[in-house]
Amino acid sequence: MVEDREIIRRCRLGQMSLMDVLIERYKTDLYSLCEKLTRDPSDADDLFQDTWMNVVKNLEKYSSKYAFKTWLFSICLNRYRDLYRRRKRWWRRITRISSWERPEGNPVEFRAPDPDPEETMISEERKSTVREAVEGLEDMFRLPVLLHYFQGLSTAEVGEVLGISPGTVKSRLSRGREKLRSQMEGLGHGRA
Amino acid sequence: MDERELETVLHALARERRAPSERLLRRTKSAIRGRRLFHLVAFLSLGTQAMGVVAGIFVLMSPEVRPAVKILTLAGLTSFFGAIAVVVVAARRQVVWFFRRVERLTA
Repeated sequence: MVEDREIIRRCRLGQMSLMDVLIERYKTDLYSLCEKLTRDPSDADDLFQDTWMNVVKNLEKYSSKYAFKTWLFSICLNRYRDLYRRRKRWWRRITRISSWERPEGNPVEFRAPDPDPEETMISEERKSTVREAVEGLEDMFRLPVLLHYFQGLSTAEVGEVLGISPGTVKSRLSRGREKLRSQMEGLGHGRA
Repeated sequence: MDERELETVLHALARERRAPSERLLRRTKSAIRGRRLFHLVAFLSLGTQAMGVVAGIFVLMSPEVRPAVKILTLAGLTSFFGAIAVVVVAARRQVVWFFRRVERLTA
């Protein structure tokens, strides 16, 4: 498998068709982040495309000391901040719960080991409640939670993407979890 | 809900991932490939049209050109700008879509 850095080097030399390899490699990671950030399928599509267009535009600025994935996520988050965070789309939030079941797109298995029996016992209702609680978090806490738990980045990588120190990431994750738990208690899922 | 249970649910949610649709992938790849080509075509197209308009104005202002040719040129220029106006009015949505696309490609 050709390494990301090598692909980028060749793209800089003009072999732009190799971008297809990177798109295929990171399509699921990036799209799931876009979907969770925007909470809307059509916005997720726009953000996905905008992110790749910005990758191409800023290819010269990429430094090989960072992993491509963290750089890609940084661009995605910057585009999200620029394009979507300021929009007051409250009317879309009303329908967002039903939009999680989207007709288009291909469900894929995450590259994680098989779920343990305990995970299979988690009710859909509980998942749905946690999902809503995550969506309800402020971005300051939601973004580290999305990147760490949902995208599998380490705290150091989350720090790189968000431009904050790993210590701050750990602190925000901890406070985010605390907020999630208190929201769950508020919704009737009390401490065991 | 305790810490361990919350982490278990979060990890279960992390498994729920979707790949983008094939249509979106195709669109993204072709937008990347078409970026340079689009710039070239847009440059050539706008350049040609601008040259045509400049040539038309030159013909209109030249004293050596026969009146019949001037009338034809004026008719041509009027048709050109009229066509642009009609297209913009009749296909507002497509024009907006086109400029959004241009904006995205050149952003």
